[in-house]
Amino acid sequence: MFYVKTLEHEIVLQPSHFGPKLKPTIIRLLKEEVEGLALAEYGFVVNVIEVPEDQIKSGIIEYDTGDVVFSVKYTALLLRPFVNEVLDAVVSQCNTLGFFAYVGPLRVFVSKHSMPEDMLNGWNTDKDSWVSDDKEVIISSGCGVRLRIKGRTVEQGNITAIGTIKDSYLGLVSEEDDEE
Amino acid sequence: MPTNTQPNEGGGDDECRPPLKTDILLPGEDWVVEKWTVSSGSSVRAGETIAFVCKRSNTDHGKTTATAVAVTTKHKRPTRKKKGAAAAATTAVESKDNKRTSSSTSSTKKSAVPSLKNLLAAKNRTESLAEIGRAESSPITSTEKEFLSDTASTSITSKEKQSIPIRAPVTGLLRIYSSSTEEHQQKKLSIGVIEECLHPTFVDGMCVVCGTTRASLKENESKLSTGNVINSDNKTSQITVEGGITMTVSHRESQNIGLVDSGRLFEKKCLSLVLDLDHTLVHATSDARARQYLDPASPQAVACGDIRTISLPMFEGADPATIAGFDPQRAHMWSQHYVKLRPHVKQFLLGVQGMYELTVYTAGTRQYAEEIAMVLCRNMAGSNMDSEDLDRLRYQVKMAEAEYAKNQGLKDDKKRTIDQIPPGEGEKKGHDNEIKEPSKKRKKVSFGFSESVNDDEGDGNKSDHMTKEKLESMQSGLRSAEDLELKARELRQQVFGSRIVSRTDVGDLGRDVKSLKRIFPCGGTMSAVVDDREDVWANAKDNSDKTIKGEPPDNLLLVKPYHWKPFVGFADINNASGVDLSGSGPDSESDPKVETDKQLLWTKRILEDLHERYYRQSSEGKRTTVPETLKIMRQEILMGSKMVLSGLVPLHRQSASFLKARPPFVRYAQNLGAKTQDTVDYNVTHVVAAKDGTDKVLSARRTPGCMVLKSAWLMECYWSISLRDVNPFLMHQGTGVTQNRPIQNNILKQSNIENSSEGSSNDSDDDDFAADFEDELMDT
Repeated sequence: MFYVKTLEHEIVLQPSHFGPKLKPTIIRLLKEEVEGLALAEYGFVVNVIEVPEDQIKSGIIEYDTGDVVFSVKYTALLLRPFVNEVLDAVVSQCNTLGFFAYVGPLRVFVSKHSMPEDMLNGWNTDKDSWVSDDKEVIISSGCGVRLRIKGRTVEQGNITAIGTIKDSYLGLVSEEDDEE
Repeated sequence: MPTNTQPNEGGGDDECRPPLKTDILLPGEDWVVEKWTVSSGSSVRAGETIAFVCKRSNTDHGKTTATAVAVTTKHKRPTRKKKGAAAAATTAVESKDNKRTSSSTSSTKKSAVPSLKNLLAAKNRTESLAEIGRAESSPITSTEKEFLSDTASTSITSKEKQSIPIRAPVTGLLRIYSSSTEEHQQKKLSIGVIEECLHPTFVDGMCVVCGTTRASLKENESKLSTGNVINSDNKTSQITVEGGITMTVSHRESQNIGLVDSGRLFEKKCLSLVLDLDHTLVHATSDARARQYLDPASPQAVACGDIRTISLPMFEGADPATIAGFDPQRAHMWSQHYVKLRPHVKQFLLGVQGMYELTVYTAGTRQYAEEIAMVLCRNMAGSNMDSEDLDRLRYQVKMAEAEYAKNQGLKDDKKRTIDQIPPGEGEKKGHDNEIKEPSKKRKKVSFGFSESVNDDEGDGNKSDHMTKEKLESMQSGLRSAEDLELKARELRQQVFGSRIVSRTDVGDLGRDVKSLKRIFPCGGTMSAVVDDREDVWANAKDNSDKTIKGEPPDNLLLVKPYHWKPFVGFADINNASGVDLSGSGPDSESDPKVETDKQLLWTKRILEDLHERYYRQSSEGKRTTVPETLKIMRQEILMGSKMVLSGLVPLHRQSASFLKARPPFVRYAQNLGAKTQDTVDYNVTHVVAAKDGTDKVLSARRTPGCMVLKSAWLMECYWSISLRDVNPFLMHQGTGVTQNRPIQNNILKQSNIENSSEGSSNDSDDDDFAADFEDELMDT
């Protein structure tokens, strides 16, 4: 789920950046550094919404390098997956074990065990897709699916999740051609 | 109905310790399930509300039971955005369900409520789920607040006509008994069971079914006594999928996958074939010197029909989105690769395509593998264009159209604005589905010479500016080229699908290891491998136990490493080629224009034979495997012959041991069915020697009926799994000049040559050479 939170980040600036445009530079660098980052306890930073300029405190000069460290507070839009949360995702890749789907930056794997019973043996090699027994549901790369997050890990600065489409009203919500 | 499939899910539960089961009991005999909040097969956590039960009243008894079953077994699908027949059908099913489920809940709009609520309340996890459960049941009970106090899972509230939640006593997978079995279970009040999760697959260290992390599992394991450990079998195997994501699959699960795979292959009457790319199907280099062979003006280019170019980003992992399409300004980010296709590769692929499911397993990067696959498929489709050519053609047609439009305005303007349009090039390339004569094969715009190279058609004299015919011919050329490209793409999908394993996908490929288990967790009893290196397969730790450690599996069809003469010495892109033990080397083909390499034809024949044998045997009811079949095929070749190897086995490896890997030549000979021995006696039929003049060779010449052959003969036999003609490989006395004398003559003359100059060579000489030979070439 998305939420807005105030976070803090340290920006290291070289002396060459000092000048009238110091604060815009700090904001630009902050966005560059922080957006797209996965913070273990907060989730993905989707967007830096606001960097109040008055919150940028005067920096501290490092003895060794002459660089200045600014501690910046900013509000950011975060995406954090919660267990049991229901999300819409786009399928990126199907394989014999299940499929991978993306909710923005978040990768979710849905195992074949987490599919409805009528799709459990529905792997189709020719089409690289999961097909239900009545052939009505075809999940292939590019489809939109609604899934429930079952588990979540943080590994090497990246958050990944496990999902299920077994419960009612979960599963394929839009076909390949649709624009998500 | 769907509940019948449930036992399969755990898969082969009988072979391992059966999972722990905990029954879910009804609080009393007169209670019935009103609603399940989770579907059968889902994972539940301890304390989670899984169902609501209520006291059975006489009036709605039958109905409620039916409802409960209907709710549990039918997976309701969400409505789809795309309106169509399928979506309509789904809605129909849903509405039918809903009618049965309860009177109050209406159509699918209601269905969004739980999800939304869930989303909002997700922070509270379990608590929130309980809340949703209550929300769902509210139309009937509307006594939510009563349950905020934590009710024990089996406690009974005194109030009638109220439903109480049933909570999961343990964490695990919920199985709800279907209506038929419910009859039996009813007495025991059991309505379902919670099985512990067997953790069939881990992705990113998380079980794909229950979402538990491996780290937390290990913690539990250490806490629990060892007898109680869930995942005690360490027989996991790693599978790598596209994008380099590695999954850990439990032994049980991998066997299931293997069964499903082989069942599918059997149905299609297919086998699977793993192909290497470099030096097996192609010879690729990124050396800029290779460009000269593309230049149609250069004399070397005459015979180079099968050279293709591919462009790969310089940096691994460069984002394909940002560099999509060939942008000249970003040309420095691309490196041009030159790919020479092996002779007969088209026939080979076309031949095996129907019988085998092809998988590419290469030490190259994924992009490289994909590009090569595309190149191969373009070749199969009969197209002679690279993607770059096609882009250029598209551009040219676009420009030509623009110019034509412009010329319509100023008619007699002779000025040629676009000077690099080779008129008719596309048409020529596109229409010609045959392998074309090499002269007009490749040309590169980047050479900068004006491309009016259409010498063979004689249309170089065409007027410079755009005419309508010219434009039309170009357009039709583009169309046919696009058609071919489309066909190639389809072919690519059909032939290789997503079955490409590359260095970037597999962590250990950088270390020269290839393992079938990476692709076929069950070990690949239905797969053959074509590769020019056997050491990489031999290095794999998890080979089946049948092969001696350090020896490649029997599935492997070793091929002669392919080197296209002109590319020899140029940098290899990915890895070194396999060792050509025949000693013939690329020098045997002095003329690059005439390639005598028939390896792919041999391999094709082997594969056809293998397929035929495999399915003939299985149609007779015998269960066989590809490695066994290949083993038998090899054994037949030199059956009954006795062989002495000279100068081929290093001294320190001559002592036979059953545990150690055999030296390559011994293994080849033995695999081909020959018996090897150390000394020459009257039973010996072949002596295979690295060089002339060794003791063994000399004594073999004295032995009637014994042939002295070069090592290349044995290699060719092994590569082709057939008995090669011995004549070109006969080692004649002294000079080493190959003459096609009959063997008998050769042998008769042997008696006269004992005192020849090489008489001084002795065994140690022999062994020294062999040891060097070994160190240099084979030590892996």
